[in-house]
Amino acid sequence: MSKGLHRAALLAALVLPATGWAHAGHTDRQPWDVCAGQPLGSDCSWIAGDHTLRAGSCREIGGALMCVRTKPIVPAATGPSEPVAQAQALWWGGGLLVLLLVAGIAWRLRA
Amino acid sequence: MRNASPLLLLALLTACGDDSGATAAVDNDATISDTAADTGSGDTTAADSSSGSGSGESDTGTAEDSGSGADTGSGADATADTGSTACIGAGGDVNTALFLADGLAGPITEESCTLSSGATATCLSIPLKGAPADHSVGPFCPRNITDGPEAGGIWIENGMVYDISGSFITGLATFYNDSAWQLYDAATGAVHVTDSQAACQAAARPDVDPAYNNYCVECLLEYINGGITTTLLVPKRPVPRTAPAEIGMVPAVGLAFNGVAFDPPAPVNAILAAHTIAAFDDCGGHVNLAAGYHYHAATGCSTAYPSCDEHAPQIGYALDGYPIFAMTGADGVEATDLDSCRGHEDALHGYHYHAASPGENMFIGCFHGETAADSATGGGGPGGGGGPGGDPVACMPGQTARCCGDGLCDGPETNTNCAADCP
Repeated sequence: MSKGLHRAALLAALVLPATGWAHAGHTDRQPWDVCAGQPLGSDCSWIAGDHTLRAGSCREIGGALMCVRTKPIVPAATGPSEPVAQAQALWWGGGLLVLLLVAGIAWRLRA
Repeated sequence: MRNASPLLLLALLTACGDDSGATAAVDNDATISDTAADTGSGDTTAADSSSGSGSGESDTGTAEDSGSGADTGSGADATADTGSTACIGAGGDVNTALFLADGLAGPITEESCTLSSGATATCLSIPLKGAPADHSVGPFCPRNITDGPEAGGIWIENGMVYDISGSFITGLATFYNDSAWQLYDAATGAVHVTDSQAACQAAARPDVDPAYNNYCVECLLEYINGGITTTLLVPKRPVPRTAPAEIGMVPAVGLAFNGVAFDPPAPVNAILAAHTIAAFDDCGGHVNLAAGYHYHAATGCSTAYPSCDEHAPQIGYALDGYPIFAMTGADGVEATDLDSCRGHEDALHGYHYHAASPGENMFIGCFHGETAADSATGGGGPGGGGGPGGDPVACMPGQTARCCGDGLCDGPETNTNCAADCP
């Protein structure tokens, strides 16, 4: 992670816990639930309260199968950040159209 | 700007657009950072290892006390009494010199053992005190809803770690989306905390005593005379299996260097159903009346030994004798090639495990190596790690709770061998 990203991450770390707290649900059983009825050793994944993906394989622990994470924690593919990204894309797309229109008009006026 | 071409504007816009993606990624990373920061993991682990409470002196004593001739140099490149200069190198035999003498109830000895494969091997008999030699225990539960995070321990949920502060207590109903959560007196703000051994036992058993619904469960070491000795039998030299072995019902998956066992995870919905919280202290441990203090998360509290490279520090050994390292090293980057046991192999460290993050309530996922057939005695005993004050396990469909209050399901305890407790 670059220095800039690191700083931003630290800054966000100060702000985000409150958000995660507010939106946390009772998902404690997720690592167990995702493996219920699955074969031993099958792939599994679940999304944690911080909207990160926890992916691994089902192992038997304490009499039931549990999803043991074996992959590094990464942001989940879908979630709260997606609408934000979509909105930003729309904003930039609209801005680009306007600017191209203005540039075109200016081009014609100069010609 | 009058001379700016549309292509230049387009280029500028494209460059700015990259920020949106970066921001989304940072947000998620930041939350992970916060989880780790809450529990003091990462750098703290390495720092503790070099400045731990007399670890160098104790380590030497342990090795000498064992009198077993156990290889004390195979795992570390320097003897442990060098303290800050010791580092962990290639794998091999379990390095008994790394254990703190103050965490042991006696010397580490060698004995013949039968492995899970049926083969005979040499095992190390390691008597854990069941109380940490290098850090204090608690606090667990805040006493008033005005208390800050320093007054309580941590709670693990959603794959994350939360400080049990007064505000956490008041927010439980929202947190679990269940208005029945009320762990405090609304008039005084006093948090309902178990305050005796009997209360601890009643509140932490699988079928929580209704009198202790809506309690923060706090079991203290003083209830068990400062700890309970559990002797773990660990193969002196790890023996790889052809296929991983499940953790199943073992009472511990490994051990820290400070005399504390690493326990397997357990679903907590049984106690949550009774609106109780079996709080962990900031070190990710709590007290079990049957097995003593034990860890459920690696938070960087216990003695750890830095690796000779940028690799994560070693925090202990698994029950199969393979070393367990912290989740990440100094670079904070987790390995991408972990197997289903959360282990992998490299030239310097051999096969080894990496503990999961504190919010995952686990250390390893299975055993890569053979374990001793009778790997634990004393304390919770084989399969009995979840005794009163510990970690109730929810029974699966078709299972019935064990008798004797050990909280496990479908175990060997029956009306025949435990008539006094079984219905």
